[in-house]
Amino acid sequence: MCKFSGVSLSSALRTLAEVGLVSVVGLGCVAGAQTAPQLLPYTTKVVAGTTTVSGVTPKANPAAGGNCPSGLKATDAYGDGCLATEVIIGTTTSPTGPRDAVADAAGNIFFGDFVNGIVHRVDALTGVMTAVAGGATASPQAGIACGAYTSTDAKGDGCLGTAVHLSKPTALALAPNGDLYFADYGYGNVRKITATAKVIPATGGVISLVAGSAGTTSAGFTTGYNISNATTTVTAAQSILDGPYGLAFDTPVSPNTQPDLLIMDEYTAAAVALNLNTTGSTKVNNVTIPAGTIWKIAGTVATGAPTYPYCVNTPGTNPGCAYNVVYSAGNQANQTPLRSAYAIASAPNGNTYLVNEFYDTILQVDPSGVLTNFAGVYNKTGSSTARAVAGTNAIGSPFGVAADAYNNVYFTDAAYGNVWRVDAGTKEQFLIASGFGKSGTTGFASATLPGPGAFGISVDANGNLFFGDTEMGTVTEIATNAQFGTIGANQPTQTIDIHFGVGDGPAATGAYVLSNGAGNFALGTQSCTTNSDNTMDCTLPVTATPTALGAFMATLTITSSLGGTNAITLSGTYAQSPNTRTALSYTAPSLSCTGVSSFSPTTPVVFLATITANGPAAPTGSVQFYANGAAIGAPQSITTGGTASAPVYTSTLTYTFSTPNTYTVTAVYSGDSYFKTSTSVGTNITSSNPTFASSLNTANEENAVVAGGTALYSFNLAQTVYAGTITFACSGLPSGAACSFSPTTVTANGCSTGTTVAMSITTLQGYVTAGGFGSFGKGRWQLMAMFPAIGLALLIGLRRRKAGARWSQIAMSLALLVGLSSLMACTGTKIAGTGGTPKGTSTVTVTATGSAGITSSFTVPLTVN
Amino acid sequence: MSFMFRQILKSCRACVCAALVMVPALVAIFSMAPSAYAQSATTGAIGGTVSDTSGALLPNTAVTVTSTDTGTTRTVKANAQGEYRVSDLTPGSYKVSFTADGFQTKEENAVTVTVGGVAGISPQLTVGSTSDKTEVTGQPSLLDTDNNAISSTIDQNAIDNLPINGRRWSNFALLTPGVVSNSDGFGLLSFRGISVLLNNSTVDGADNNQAYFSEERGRTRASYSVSQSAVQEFQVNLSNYSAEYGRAAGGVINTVTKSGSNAFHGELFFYDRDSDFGAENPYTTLTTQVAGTNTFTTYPYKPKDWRKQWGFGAGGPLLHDQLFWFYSYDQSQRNFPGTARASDPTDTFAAADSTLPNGVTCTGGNLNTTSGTAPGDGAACQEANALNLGSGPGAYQAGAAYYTQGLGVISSFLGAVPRHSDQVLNFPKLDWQINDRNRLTLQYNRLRYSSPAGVQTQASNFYGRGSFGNDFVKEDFGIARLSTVLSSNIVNSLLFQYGRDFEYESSQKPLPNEVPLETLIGDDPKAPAAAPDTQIGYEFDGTGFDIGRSYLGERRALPNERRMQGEDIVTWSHGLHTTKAGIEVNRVFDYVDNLYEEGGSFSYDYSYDFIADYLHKTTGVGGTNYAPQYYSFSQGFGNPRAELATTDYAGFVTDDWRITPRMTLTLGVRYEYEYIPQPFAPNTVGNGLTGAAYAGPVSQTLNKPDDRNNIGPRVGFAYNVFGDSKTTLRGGYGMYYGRIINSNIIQSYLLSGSQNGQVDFQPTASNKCQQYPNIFASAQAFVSACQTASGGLNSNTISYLDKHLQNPQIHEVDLAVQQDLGHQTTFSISYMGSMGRELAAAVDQNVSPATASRTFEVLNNTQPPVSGYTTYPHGGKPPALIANSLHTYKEYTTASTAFPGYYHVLEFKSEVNSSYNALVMQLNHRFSDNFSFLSNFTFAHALDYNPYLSTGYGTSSELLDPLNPAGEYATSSLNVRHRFVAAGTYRVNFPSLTRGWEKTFINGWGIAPILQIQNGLPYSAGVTQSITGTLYGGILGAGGTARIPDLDRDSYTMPKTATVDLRLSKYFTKHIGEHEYRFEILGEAFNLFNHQNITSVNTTAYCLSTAPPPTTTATTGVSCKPVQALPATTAANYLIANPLFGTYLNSNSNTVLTPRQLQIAGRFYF
Repeated sequence: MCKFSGVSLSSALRTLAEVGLVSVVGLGCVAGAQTAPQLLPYTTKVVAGTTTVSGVTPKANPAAGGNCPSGLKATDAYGDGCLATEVIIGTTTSPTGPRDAVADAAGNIFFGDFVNGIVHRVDALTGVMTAVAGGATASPQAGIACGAYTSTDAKGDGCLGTAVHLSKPTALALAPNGDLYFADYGYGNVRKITATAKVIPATGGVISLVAGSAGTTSAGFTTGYNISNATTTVTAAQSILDGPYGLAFDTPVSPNTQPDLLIMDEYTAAAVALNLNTTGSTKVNNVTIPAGTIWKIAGTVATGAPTYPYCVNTPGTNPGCAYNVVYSAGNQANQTPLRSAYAIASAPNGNTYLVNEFYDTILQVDPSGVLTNFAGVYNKTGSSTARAVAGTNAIGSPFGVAADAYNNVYFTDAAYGNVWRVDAGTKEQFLIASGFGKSGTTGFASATLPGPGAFGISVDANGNLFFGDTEMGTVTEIATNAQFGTIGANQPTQTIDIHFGVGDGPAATGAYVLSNGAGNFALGTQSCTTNSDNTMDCTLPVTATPTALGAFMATLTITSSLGGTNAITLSGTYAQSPNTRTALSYTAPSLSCTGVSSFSPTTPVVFLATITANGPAAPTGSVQFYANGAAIGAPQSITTGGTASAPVYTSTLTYTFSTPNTYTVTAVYSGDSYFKTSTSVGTNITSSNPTFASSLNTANEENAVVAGGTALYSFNLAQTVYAGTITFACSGLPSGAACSFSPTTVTANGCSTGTTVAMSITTLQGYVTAGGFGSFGKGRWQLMAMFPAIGLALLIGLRRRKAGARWSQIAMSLALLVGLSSLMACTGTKIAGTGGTPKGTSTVTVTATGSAGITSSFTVPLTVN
Repeated sequence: MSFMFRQILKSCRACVCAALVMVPALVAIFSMAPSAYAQSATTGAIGGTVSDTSGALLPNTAVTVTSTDTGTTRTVKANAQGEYRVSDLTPGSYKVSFTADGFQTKEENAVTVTVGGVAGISPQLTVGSTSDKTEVTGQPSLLDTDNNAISSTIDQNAIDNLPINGRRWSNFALLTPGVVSNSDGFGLLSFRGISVLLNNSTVDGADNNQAYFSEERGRTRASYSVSQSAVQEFQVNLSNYSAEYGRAAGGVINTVTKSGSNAFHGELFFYDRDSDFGAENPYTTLTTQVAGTNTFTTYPYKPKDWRKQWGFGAGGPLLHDQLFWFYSYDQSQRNFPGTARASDPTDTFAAADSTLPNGVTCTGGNLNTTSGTAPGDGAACQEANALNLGSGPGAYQAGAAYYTQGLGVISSFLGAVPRHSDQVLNFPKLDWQINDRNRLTLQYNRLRYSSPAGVQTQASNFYGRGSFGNDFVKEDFGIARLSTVLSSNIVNSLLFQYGRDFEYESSQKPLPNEVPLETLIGDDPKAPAAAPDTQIGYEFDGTGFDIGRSYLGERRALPNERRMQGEDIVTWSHGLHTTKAGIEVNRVFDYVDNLYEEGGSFSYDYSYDFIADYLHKTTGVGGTNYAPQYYSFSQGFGNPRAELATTDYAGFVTDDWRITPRMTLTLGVRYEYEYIPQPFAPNTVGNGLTGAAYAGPVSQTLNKPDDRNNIGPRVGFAYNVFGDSKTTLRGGYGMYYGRIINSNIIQSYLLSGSQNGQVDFQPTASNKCQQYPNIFASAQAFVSACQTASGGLNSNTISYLDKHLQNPQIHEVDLAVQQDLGHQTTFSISYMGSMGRELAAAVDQNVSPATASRTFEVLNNTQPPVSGYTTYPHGGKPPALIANSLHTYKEYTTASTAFPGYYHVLEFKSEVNSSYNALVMQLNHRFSDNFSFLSNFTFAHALDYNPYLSTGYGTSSELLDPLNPAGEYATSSLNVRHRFVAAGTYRVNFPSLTRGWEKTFINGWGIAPILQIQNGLPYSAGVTQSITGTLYGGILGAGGTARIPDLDRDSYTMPKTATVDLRLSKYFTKHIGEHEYRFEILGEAFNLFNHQNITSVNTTAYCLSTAPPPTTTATTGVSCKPVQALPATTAANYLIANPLFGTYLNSNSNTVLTPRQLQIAGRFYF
């Protein structure tokens, strides 16, 4: 058998052969020295997700109906409807969704969003991401209609994939018939989405359960582990899986027509295989599997819940059954313990490759079931990037493994951010790419990001690698560059990397010959390097030079110095075609705000239609704007901007929605003699009468104070397209209290926005006055006048009295003054005054007042203690 | 009317004649004697030479002295040279009778004896019968030809007739040369450049000091502790005074109280001072929110300040010629609301735009702009970040809203503070002339002072309205003195005193907006709940302002001091000698109950930081992930209570030897010993509070100083140059010893680092182990929460006394020439010199020699005004360092290995010297022709090595470089280079006026001005900011004073000060029979011309920076002010000139210097 991740080789070859794109020269499933040149994955590019920057919270995806950065319209809150490269996969706090990715023959890419429970598809032509499974808040229960379908179980099987709720989708695999299989780690099952005409369309397809349990409720799942063993044969429908993570197909062996589905159950550390044929047994890893049944092909769990360590045999008697006991070469795989087994792959030569992440190794199981170490050193980590025979260099944490049509094996090392290739001919292990996730650091644990970096990996029929980088939140492709995708008139150049076998290299003459469309490509000058294993890699720039619109291709025949040849298909699509795309955006130049969709009936809105048109000349014609289906304004002409190599075609309309309503605005490009018409996605605009509303922030207030204290409040002033000044006032204040606002007034600019207003209510403390003379007020001067009066009285009195009486009078006067002094002293105590804000609870009404009689009020409590 | 009182009144009738003599005598004598003889602390003497009309000396003449007040009589005989002296006479009026065989008896009927003075009476007797009497009333000599000391006596006439602000009579001491007030504004006096803490105050010879703070008992918050109505006179001993005086390295102020006499006399008084008639201080400002806006405005205003003082002083006989009483009652009430203000309101209340300006971003608290923004925009952005509001325009808008709201809260902490004071003094006194030989005096002085919010007495300061603190003083002392005439030539005086000075302070009731911040002190359930001390806005200008409970803690007793004093002095006049000897014991018990920062202390660099913490505490805004914004937090723990008893022993012998009739030599010696007990909280096992916070024992905290070699010889001479008493030359030298101040002892003992002392824990600045405003209940809780948190704890500062610590030692030298110019006018020129030795310094011993250095480049800004900052109309100093010059200073980076685990280790040691040289000129006119005048000009220079002048809680060294004390040598902080004082009185009195209305309305008017002009006090050019990574920060890394090493300490002076005080008065007199009754109404103006005497300036000359300073317009939060252009070649470190250096911060804001104030009063004498 010759297997690789995603698409069976025979199926792929058959498909390609049918269209004449592939020659089978040099291809073989038998391991041995490389005789024909091969392409290496060469260029790394992000195909989904935006790269996460440590410490920076990424910008959230637009809500459903919101505008994507590109102007597209989001269809949900998970980035669908947008370009895949402008959204985050996951959430702003956990932008770590991708775990794995596969690509179909047309170049559409599928990956699971582990965080949000969605399987996405990235369209090969447009780059737009859509959901093909998951996204519902709950799955329709058994018997419940779901559109045109009816759910058959608690997980919504039988419905469209987008109608169900998924938990944690991880690995995916494409069956030869185009069905997309994926593992749901959270729900412990494997499901598939049925293809339409062997292709999963952008809208997805019907979902169905393949293996594991559907559980009994929408959100629940059945835990356990139930597969066949020596005494019991378990069908797929009866099976129970605990944590399926890895997924792969092998190559069907005649007379079987369906490949076996290989599942790596991480939680039970077991690899199982499901015979998808309706009749006839298959044999995987020397385990015979009757049709429709599921069997363990690696690992030691027999049945039931796993017991840690995962070994059902007696420890010590079988080296394969004891925890922490190193397996020995030659053991049967299904008697060998695994740990942290995340991924599985099948090579065309019948070998199975298992990720044994905890022990930092990739294991190989040959068709006879014998397990050997393939790459990495048991239980040892290493960061060396040196080229060496696989199994001699320690690696970090492998999480993904895949095998290509040449039996070359690729695996990821999340700890050091590497993608490795083990050459089928030389068994040499060398880097394909590096720098992913937490590259350069030991271990993948991160304080902010929960998952490792480069995770599950797959290789498509053209030798392109796809993997999920959970730490960076991206789906990454390492392309061989033989496919140019959709191009315009700019005739791009891509470099391909040709790998020659030991002692081999490009032929001295005629090493690279184009045929079958040679005019579509031009070759540059090669640059070769001899590797330490005496193989050679040569890079060759290839420029696409199509002259006719539509798909173009050519055959590049590479001839080595030892005579090996390989006919490589170079392909692409010259997209100069009548197809156009119209995107719509809008602004309100009279306002200072951006990103809002509500305007007053007097605010002019400027709509901008951007037409994407790739053709020999600029599009002509006009753009008509519509609101709720009715044309608004006259057809607008098209303006060409941008640069010569990247022209931008736009059309604008300034319009005022004088009648309050919600309008769905579209822009329709009329098309011309060459370009087709196109209509933008509808954009919702709301025309509202200006108003505002105030709401108290009850969670943050200090409403109980002592007299003299300041009660503190804040409230939000939500303005809807209101322009003008808003003032604030209080009523119902107790005596001595006053309120103030910050800001004192709000000058609204016509946008729909919120303003935080801080409000303080100051209360008045009962004042304290000094008694004594202070209580005399200005009359103290009268008191001063008493002194001469007293003195005068004394003198007058004294003159008229006898001496004895004078002394008495002196004494009495002295006593009088002393008494007066004492009185002053006694009244010199402090008197608590009144006039402060009285104790008690008040309800204060706060009113915001704008122009034209617009007001908004709320009440706040005020307690004075 | 009781029988007793009737007897009193009866007995008074007989005193009328004496009264008629005494009252005009008081008016006639205006003696600001520049040099009076230091006869005694409480008494004076009458002396002279008796001769016949030919000038021949008459030996053995009987001299009888009779007090006209009390009838007491003393008789002595002149010696063989005809000289006599009657010593130990109570100040007052005397009649002197000279009787010699063959000569007519001669009587001098009105001889006034002043404290410490010798009234010189040298009659020439006429041949005749002793029964023939000749009565003469003459003037004693203007010059005292027997005394070598320099001192002044302010008698009751001066006290009564010169303008006096708040009846604070001791302010008159400033009229004497060589006396200046220090810069703290409380009116403490420095004599001859010596610390204000090294003076001695006595009342009737009894020690009137509070040993703890080393000030006069009752300290300075109360205006006076002895009523003016009870003061007979007081003597200011400036230099080279007698060995009888001790415990002082500065001056000795000796107060004598009144006594009753055979006549019933007294006065009633009422004084009223009101700010309504006073001037406004431009620096007393309020900051309030402009109505309807988010901006705040700062403006000057005049706070209320009125004071009423009333009472009486009266005395008379209980038993004629035997038992006399005197009673003084004095009460004053003052309503003087204080003003709490921010030190830099411009920054504290910087307004923010309500929305983010165009072109500006606000992200993570950082405001990025290339265009101008409102000064508070940065604060609003910081607010948004602190309150977790996010970034961007919306967050900024909300941050600005909360920031402005918080400014409203901050403004509620500032403004007017209701503040009162109420002081009541009662002073009864009894004098019992037991018999001809014995006189017993018993007196008791009781002061009660309470002042809500009165701890801070300045017109305005940087404490919140609820942080001024309540102030209370209870002072009692009783004195018993027995004077015994053992023989005609030997007099003994025995004194005993018991006194108490109990001073305590408490927190005010928290302000309403402080209530949400209230916390309780963990180990004191009686302590009121209050907000912790919170300093806001330190980074604005290095000051900020404080709210909450004072960091000084609840001063439950600081101190409660009891004093017992016993003294015995014998005076022996024999031959040409007058010898005096005495012994004295003073035992002082000081109890303190006060813990520094016991209520916790938080510091905020900027107002927006505080606002964030406040709003989060009160409203919860900021959410559960809120991070505290304060810069530092500290809290004091330990035992706040301590008691310590010191005992001072002293003995002296002094002899006045009249070598020739013209020359008097004074020889004396005094020995003093201050016993200091063992440390009560030595650090023998480390702090022991927690295991993890443990720092090891410090054996030096066991040190106990014991200075026993304080022998002070004193020698002087007085020379009557031409024998006509018109010209005198006097000089002298002496050694004087001050005290080791009790607070320095107690605070050093407490700050030992021991668990029995006081420990102040402070987490590192990055360790926010406590949410504001919470504090910890115990040291253990603190350490448990904070030590293991990120950053840990700062080490603690400790202190100890050097075991060789010495009492301050002063050498005094003076030389004076005095000339009688005739017409009751004298002129003198004097030199006064002091050399201080063994003065104390607090030196950090935890510094290892510097091995690193750092070079700063000087960046000079343009001078004020600078846009964005408030500059007052005057002031500003140019940068002292040359622009772009490079200055390399050493840098301390490592601590001594001798004290691991400690921060500053302060050794209180004797290693500072000082010098003072002054030339004094005086021109005085004794009252005659209705006119008196005094004036003096002092030209002086005081230098020292920066002695320790504090009584507070020692936290850092006062030295810039602890390993280079010689580098401190510079002008003293007490240096006043030039000072001129003039005062005079004039009274309208035309005897020719006979008609009643003319006499009534023309005579009796009086005018009395006082003029004082002097240079301002010095200050140093300081720096702000620290260099991180050094040992203690500061410019050298050694902590200490923050000044520029290149510039001498105290090399700048504040502007000169000038005040004119003026009194206008009018007498109304009425004679009724033999009595004269006089009513006086007077008006007084203090600082008549409202001269702006600057009392505070910005002393920050440079800001240290290790990064280039900003060049843009000033914005809030910039530690160093922006410069206008960076140098072409930039260095790594900068000294950035502060454009506000030298600008004025406050004026007329202390006890001595005030805005113009007006006062009126009425007094009634009978």
